[in-house]
Amino acid sequence: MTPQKENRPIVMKMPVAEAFIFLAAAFVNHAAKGLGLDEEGADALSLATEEVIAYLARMAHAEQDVEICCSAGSCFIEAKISLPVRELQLHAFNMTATVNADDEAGLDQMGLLIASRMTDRFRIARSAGQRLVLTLVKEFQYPEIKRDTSSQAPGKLGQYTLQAADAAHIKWFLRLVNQYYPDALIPLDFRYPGKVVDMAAGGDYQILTANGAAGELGGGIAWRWEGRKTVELYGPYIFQEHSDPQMACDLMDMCIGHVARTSALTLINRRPTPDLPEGYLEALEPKRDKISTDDSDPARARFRMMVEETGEVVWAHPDVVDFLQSEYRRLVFPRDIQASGSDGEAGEPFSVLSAEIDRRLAVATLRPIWPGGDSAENLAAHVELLRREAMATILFEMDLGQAWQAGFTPGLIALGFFPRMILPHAGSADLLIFQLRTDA
Amino acid sequence: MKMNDECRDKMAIDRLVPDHIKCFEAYIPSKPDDVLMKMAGCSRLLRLNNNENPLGPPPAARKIIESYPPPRASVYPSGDAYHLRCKLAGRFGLHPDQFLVGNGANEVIAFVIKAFCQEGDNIVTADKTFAVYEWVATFSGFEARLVPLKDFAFDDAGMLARIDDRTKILFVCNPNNPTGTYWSEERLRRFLDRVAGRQIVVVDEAYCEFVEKPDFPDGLRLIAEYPNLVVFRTFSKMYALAGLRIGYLAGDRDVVDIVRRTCVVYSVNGLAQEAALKALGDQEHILATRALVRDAKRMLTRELDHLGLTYVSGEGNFLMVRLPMSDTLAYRKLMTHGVMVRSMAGFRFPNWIRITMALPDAMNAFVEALAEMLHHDR
Repeated sequence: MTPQKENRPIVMKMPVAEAFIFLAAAFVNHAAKGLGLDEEGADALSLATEEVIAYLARMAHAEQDVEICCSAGSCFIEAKISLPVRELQLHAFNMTATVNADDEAGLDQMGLLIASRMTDRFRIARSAGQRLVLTLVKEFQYPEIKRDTSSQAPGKLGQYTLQAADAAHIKWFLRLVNQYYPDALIPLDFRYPGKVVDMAAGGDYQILTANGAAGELGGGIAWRWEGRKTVELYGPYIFQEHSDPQMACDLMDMCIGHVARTSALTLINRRPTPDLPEGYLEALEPKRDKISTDDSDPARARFRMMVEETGEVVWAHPDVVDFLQSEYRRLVFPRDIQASGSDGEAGEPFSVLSAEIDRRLAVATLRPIWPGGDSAENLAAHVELLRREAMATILFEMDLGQAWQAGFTPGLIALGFFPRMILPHAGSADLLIFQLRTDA
Repeated sequence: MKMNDECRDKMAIDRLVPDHIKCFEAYIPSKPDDVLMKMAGCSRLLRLNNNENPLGPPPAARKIIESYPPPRASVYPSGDAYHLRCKLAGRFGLHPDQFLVGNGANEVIAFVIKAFCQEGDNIVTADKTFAVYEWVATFSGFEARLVPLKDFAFDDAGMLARIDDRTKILFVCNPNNPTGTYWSEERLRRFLDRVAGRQIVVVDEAYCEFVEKPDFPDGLRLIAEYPNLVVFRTFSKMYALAGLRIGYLAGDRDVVDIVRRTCVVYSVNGLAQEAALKALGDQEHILATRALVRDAKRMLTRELDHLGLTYVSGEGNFLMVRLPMSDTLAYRKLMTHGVMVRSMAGFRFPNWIRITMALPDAMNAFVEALAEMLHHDR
């Protein structure tokens, strides 16, 4: 009998002290294996944990406890390391805290950076109650889709029904998507059918397919949640020789019907296909010149609100007010933009940034955790570090609902970041996404 | 006061919350009109979103509201709307104990679900209808089985097919909000015969007073024949007492006796009870409202035809229009013109909006704003 997969979180609490570094590593290693990660992955995760705990042991007070929680996602194992921090300690949790940018050896000594290299995703965030949470994610290994065989697309389907795809239909759907659509219109996950099947089984992806009377697969659509308020949509993908606008509309209607009456406020499609019917989604990004050297992706992000917008206050530095006004006017979003900036009041000396690194996509996302007088220098140090880590895209997410975050704007502009787009309701209010110019 | 970490750890509110509540998101109602106007930058707000009656309450109810003595506000109302139940009983030929009055019909939906459902039970209703049946069931921890509409109407065969041993209640919105379709008396009877008393059948008649079709069923008359039938009605729509929150249910005495056990008494305020008492059955008001709705629909459908837009216009004081754009974008754009409509994505009708029939000035303003919006969008 196959043992049932364990998916309850496994938690350990221990003092932050050098003596317990190996205990933490062993705990994560065994927990990860027990939760289904292979030997190699478990070793990487436990080594990353070892680095983090060693780092914390140097930075934190000995009397503090650290909590380590290992849990299984649909296609990954996650180790969350959290500890209460005092404000004065916070600056130590910048990834750049001990980096000497001119000294390669110094870089190699940095525990947090090493931990990030051993994992697929790594992030530091501040949670409620002054706790700092370091999250290490190691994904399961899946074989990449075989591209050497081709499936024939069906002719025009006279009749079809839409249904939630089972594992077999998900794999068939992904074969056709990979065969008929360019990479730029396909999320990376779609190259790994086993991963998508696991994610769908875990509720991370939802996939609908349009099936003909004889079982032919005519098209499909997929979506997944990003937090509690945003749903990302992929497709619609129509495989028939001559597209089928009605099928595309039906897929969109069904997708929106599923997302309606949930906590989702917005639906985003970063890779709209040519099959996306007119009128369902709005352009998210302003018209501008190409923003990266990647010209394989001419598509513009689209979105729609799932609820009626009633307006809110946002906080912004004067440097981006023109951009925001213009964008809110274009998007027809009622917003009361309040200026936020320093008027000489006393502030914290050290800022803190969290960094989320996705090594597969070479994307790094910085998020402010704490304001401080050194924000420009801190940003510059992070950018330098991320460039050394070969991050092709460096983003900065500013929550316009948090007035203090506007203080990072001058530093961002000086470094060559530009405001790229607004993600409505993606933070405590809207998120303003800055992107570093590739020529900066 | 700053909560210390230990205290926060101990609280760990997450551990106290049932799974079905964790998955559920609170409904966020619209902001007040003054805030909306300020945000949208408009100097007026035409409310075509909530199916309110622009004529306001009938004259007798209006008089009650205008002359309500302030000292009465310090006295508890009748805990079970005694006089109103007696009047309802007299008007509809039922016993006062066959009625339960609630703080709007929404409250009586919760009473019925609480009375009949327990862990593992389910309810059956349509996917594209008034959301509250689904919401109350879901946040109470019961499965809401949603049957797709067929030709914009409740699918009786589809609903019957979803019934199992754990199905306790079937909710039918007649006429349906937002499509305006309805089941005739013959169809409703056939459905009730097929259910054969095994489940509670709730027929929500919130918009029944707007319907003039001769084959439209009067649910209250059918209760004597079908003791498992529960009928909802409201004073919010035809009688224009939405701001006072008052609605009621009617059913067989044994059924209502069960539902009463879950009912929160004293939830309906005294002014609402008295205004409803006076409003009930004002035929002149009903005829005037029906005429307004008829005229507004005639004018609006003519203009929608002219604009080349698809619409669904059935019974009730509303109709639905399909737009060549996102409904939530249309909502935002129309708000800048001071016109508030209901976007239909939340009803699972993306790119449709629902418009309440209103006075000619408001309807004209809507048509003008709609035409301008579509013109700019082309």
